Amino acid sequence: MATKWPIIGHHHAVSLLQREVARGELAHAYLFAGPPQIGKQTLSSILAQALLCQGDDPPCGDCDSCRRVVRRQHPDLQILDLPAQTRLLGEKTSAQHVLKIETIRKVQQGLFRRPLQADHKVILIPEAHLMTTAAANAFLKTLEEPPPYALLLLTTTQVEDLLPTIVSRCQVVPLHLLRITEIETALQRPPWKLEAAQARLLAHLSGGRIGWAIRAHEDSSVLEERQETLETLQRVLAGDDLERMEIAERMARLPDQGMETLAAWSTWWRDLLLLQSGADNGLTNVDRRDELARVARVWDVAETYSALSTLQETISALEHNVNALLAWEAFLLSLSVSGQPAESRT
Amino acid sequence: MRVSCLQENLAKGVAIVGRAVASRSTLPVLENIYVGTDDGRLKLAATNLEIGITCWIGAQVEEEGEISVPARVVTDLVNSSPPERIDMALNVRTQTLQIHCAQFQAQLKGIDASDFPIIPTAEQDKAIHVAPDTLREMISQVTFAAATDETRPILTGVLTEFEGASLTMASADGFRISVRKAPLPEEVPESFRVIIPARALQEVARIMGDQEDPVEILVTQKRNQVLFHMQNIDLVSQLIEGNFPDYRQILPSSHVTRTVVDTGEFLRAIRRARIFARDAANMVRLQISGESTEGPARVRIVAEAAELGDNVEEIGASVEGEDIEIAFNVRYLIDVLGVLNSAQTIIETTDATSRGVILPASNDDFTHVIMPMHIGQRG
Repeated sequence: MATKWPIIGHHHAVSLLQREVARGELAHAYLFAGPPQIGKQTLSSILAQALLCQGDDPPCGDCDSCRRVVRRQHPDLQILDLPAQTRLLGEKTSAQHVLKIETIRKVQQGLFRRPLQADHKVILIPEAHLMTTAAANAFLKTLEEPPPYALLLLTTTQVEDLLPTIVSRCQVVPLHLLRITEIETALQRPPWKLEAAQARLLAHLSGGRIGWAIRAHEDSSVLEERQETLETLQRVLAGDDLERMEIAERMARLPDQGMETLAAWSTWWRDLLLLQSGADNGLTNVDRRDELARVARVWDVAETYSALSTLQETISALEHNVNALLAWEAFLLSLSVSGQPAESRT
Repeated sequence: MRVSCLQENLAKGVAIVGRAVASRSTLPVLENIYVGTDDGRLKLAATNLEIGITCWIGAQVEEEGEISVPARVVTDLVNSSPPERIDMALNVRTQTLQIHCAQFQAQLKGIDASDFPIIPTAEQDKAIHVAPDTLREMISQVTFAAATDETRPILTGVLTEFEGASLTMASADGFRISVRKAPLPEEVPESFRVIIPARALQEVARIMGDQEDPVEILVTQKRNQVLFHMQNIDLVSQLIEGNFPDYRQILPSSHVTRTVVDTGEFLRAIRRARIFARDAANMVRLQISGESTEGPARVRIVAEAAELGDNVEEIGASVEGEDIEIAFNVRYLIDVLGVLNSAQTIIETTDATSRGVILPASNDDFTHVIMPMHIGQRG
């Protein structure tokens, strides 16, 4: 059996791929599908490394080939994301939202030149759903008849946005959120070596997304922003209509931040609901347990539930391009003030 | 790294490897030129992952080292330098190459040489030797007929077959086929065939320059690359994957009419016909007739453009077989007549809708096949 691949979680997928690599029975194309930041790209990159490795025990992590893959400098590995497209087409970075057919065509041309250093050529498309329909249709040709040395790796967070014809021509490897304990344990090991408490906090906050946990560890602003987001929620709950309308206006102006805020708030309400129903495990915001417990005593389950559903409706409304300011105002004004139902305020 | 060399040599080397620099690539390092010391010489290299060129120039090496620097900057800098000694020094910590020549001193920010792809260089043992003139002529006779349209990657390559003591190159783009054979000075131990990108062969012909020693050709063990070893220059090309169509089946085995014309005269007439043909879907009609009461055997070359007018020219010929009228793309005729290397040209035809064959009269090592155009389809 090969060495353990440096992947956290996803045991099923890893052992499947390890077996296929060892037997030389890899499919010509894989599609890794699952939520964001759980290690899809890491897994596909390790698979590429295993295939291109020149060492005895692939991926050895030590040979020239492995090191080039890690640095993303391997001539037989083409990573096709938006920055790569910018370089390939010589376009402006700001003009990149989708993967275009011109890019796919260029890559296809290169694919028929045999590999340079390794025995294989790997094409990795990290966000396959960014392909336009024309690009995806052009890529079908390659998926159907790739040269024998080619391995095509696609990852996506939105498998439903891919053409069914693309999906059916790949071996689909569904990946799921990691267990909180897996992340907690991993964060205490090298290279991160976090304190137990910090590992626990990040693992819980990550909601099973190892990538988020690592980013939060490496970039302190991630945690600071979350702190700020939850403070804003406290201000909303304690504030009057005027203050809520100010907050609504600010959120409506920054759509991305607004969505992140709603996502963070929903974890807070979910925790509240858990505490109110007597469940003590599975909290996300473990560092706010005291505050949550206090609110849980004031609010009743029905109120929490109603707030959480309004929040979900707001997220869905914003995703469907409603007037952001109105959506935010309607949501924030409907919330109770510190435990008092909205109706009883006036 | 501390190296000195002459501006003239460096400029030449940079120009040679510069042909392989990638213009747009996902790997930034491919827009760079590798500069490193190698056994008392300066080694320059570039690759766009299709072809890689390595070139060695004489230099005085004081300290070994290697780096890659942006091709455009180093080329412009060296070309604009006075013809004097150039001193180069590498600061390993900052990966900066200092270039000093006459009164200027430049600092060039580079990328670590370990990011540069490994380009194979010649291992002398298993090489096949080909005379440079032969190779140059072969390349000129086949590469033009390869497809430039990348939708059929195979046809952008030249099928190159080493069999016994002969080398055959063949190309096709769906409208024409070019096949050239040449004897090898010695038998190859094992016959094999590879598909070499036409662009790579054109590059070989270009950088061969006035090379007099035989060019050494070798294919890497995994059959992934072909290497052309010349004096102080190695060109490596990735091979194209796939099955080349069996062109031998498409070569006509018989003909009805065999026409022999003077190559120069024919080419000049075709060039004049092109003035009109280019406005008429490039179509030129050849009306071939044998000796009769109307006159001696001749080829009438007719080009008509509806808006522009027409041009008719008659040249003398020797014709065996039936009279025929057949139309060809004028560009294809010019392409092949330009590389025929024979004072007289043989045109073999069957009927107006069957493939025409163009052959040199002086030898039988070159065959060119062109699909005719439908005479009805005038532009």
